[in-house]
Amino acid sequence: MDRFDHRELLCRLVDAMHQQGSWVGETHIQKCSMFLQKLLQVPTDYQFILYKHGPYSFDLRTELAEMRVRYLLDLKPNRVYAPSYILGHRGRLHIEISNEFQNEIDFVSRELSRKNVVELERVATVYYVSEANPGLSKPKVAELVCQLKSHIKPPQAISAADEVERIVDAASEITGR
Amino acid sequence: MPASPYQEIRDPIHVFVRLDDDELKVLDSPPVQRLRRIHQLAMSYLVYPGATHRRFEHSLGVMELAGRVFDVVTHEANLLDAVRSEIGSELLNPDKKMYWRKALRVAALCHDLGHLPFSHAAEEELMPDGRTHEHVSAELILGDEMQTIWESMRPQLNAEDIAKLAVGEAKMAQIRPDLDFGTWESLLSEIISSDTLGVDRMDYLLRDSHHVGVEYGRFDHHRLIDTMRILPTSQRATEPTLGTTDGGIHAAESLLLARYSMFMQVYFHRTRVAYDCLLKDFLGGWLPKGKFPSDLEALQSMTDDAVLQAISEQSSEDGKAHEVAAHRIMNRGHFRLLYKETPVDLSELASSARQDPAKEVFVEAEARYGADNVRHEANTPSQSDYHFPVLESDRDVVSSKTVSESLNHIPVARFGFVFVAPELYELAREWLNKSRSATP
Repeated sequence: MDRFDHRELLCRLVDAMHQQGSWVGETHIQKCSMFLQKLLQVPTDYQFILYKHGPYSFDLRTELAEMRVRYLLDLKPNRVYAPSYILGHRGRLHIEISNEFQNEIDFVSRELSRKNVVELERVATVYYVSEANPGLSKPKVAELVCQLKSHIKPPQAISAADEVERIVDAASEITGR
Repeated sequence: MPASPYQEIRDPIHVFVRLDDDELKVLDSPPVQRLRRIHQLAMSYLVYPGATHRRFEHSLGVMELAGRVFDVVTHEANLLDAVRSEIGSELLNPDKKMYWRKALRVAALCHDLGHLPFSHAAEEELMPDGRTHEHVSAELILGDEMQTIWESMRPQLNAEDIAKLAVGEAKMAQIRPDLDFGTWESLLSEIISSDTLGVDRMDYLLRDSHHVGVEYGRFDHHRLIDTMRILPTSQRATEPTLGTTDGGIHAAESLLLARYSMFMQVYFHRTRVAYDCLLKDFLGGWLPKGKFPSDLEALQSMTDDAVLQAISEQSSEDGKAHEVAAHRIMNRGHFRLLYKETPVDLSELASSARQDPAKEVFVEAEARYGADNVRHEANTPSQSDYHFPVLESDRDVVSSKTVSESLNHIPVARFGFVFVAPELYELAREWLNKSRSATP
C-alpha cells in the first residue's frame, strides 16, 4: 500500500465510523487503525507505541494532519470533547476509489467506533499487550496491563480482556485464524 | 550584606533569568555549555542575519518560563477541587513541591542537550538507527557526568525524573518504555513540551521572532501564563491536563497563530530549506559512513563550529558531491525554488485526490535536469488539533474549540517545494511555465 492507499483507507474508515454513529475523535481513529493493522492484518505501516492512553501512532497523527492539508479530512468542534474528524471535500472523492479491505473497515467500525475513549483505551491496551506477549494467559495480560498503566484497575483490565477475546473471536470470520 | 542566593543573567526576552547555586552547576556542565555552539535556527542566519542565537539562551528561557508556569498552576487559589484529588499529594508537602519545582526547571534547562549540529536540519536522515536528539538528551541526563551533579544538589534529584520531564511522555515511550509516567509527571512534562501550551514553544516563538526581526511570533505570554490552570481533560474525564481560564483564550489563540506564521514564514522559508538540503548533502558525504556517531562522547564533540570549519576546508566547485555542496554554502549558490505547492493546487487543480502536485513536478524536472540538480522537500510537522480544556467563569470546563472560532481555522503548517540548481533556474522556469500553460 502506498501513501494514497493509506489515505483512501482512512477516509473510508472515517466514513464508516460516522455511519455507525461514532463521535470519530482522534482516539477512535487511532485505536481502530491499530486493530485494522494488527488484528485484521490490513497492510498499513503505522508504528504504534504504548503511550499515555494506550497504543498510539505518531506517524498516523502526522498522516491525519497531512490529510487536513490536502482537504481529505476536516475537524468539527464539540462543546465538551475533543473535535470530530469529518471528510473534507476531496475526501469524498477518496471513498469512491476502492472497496479493498471494506469488510475489515466495517468490522472495526461496528465493534469499536461507538465505544467511549476510556473503553477504547482499555481494549486497545489489552490487545496491544497480548499481541506483544503471545502465549500469555488472559489473567496475566490483565495483570501486565495494570502494571504498565497504573490508572487501569484489575477489574477493568479483566473486563477489557474479556471484550478483546470476544472481538478476536468475531474477527476470525474475516482473518480465518 | 549576605551574597545574593541567585545568579542573575540578562536575557533579551525575559529581562532576567535567575539561577540558584544548584542550577548554576547544571548550567556550567559541559553538555549545557555545548549548547552555546549550536544555532537555534540552523542556517536561517543566511536569510535573516540576526538569527544567530543559540540553543543555550533558549534553554535558559525555557527554564525561566517553566518555573513561572509551575508557580501559577500550583498556587493554592488556582487549584480546582476536581484535580486536587488527583495531584494534591504532590503539593501538600512543601518539600515535595520544592523538589518538583527544581526538577522541572532543571529538566527545562536540559531539554535540548542532545541536539546535533544545526539543530533539526539534518536529524532525521543522519542519526543512526532511527535515533533522535531526544534519545541523546535522555542518555546525557541519565549518564554518569550529570549524575554527579544531581547527587550534589539539595534536595538531591532523581535522574529519571529529570529525563522524563525533559524529554516528555511521547518521546520517552519510544526511548525507554519501561519508564512509566504518573499523572503528576505527565502533567509536569506537559509544562515543557505540550504542543499547545508548552513553554518550549512559548520561548522559541518569542526568541526567534526577536532575533529574526519579525513581529508575528509575538503573543501576550504574560497573560497566557497567568491564566494557565491544571484542569480535568473534560467535564466527564477527571484526568488533569494543562488548560486556561476563559480569560486566557485570546492569548492562547495568539500563541497558536504565531506558531503557524513562524513556521510558514521563518522555519519553512524557501532559502532556509534550500540550505538545509545542502547541509544534509555535505554532512552525508563528510561524516564517516554518512551518519552521526552513536557514541555519546563523539557526538558531544560535534558542534556547528566543527561543521562550519569542515565546510570551509572542503569547499570545492568540482569535487565530490559533498564538497560541491560546501562550495554552494560558502558562495551563496543555494538551489532556487522552482515550484511551491499551494492550497489551490492541493484543493482544486489536481483532477484526482491521488495527485501530489509537488512530487509530479519533481519527477518530471528530475528526468529533465538530472538527480544532482533537482530536490524535492516537503514537511508537515506533527500537530495537535488545538483542543485543550478551558475553565469558564461559571466553573464549567469546555473544549477550547467551542469557545474560540479562531482555533477552528488555523491551517496546518506545511510546505512542498521543488528546487533546482541555480544555473538551471531560468531554463527550468521556462519549462514549467510552458507545461503549466499547456495544461487545461
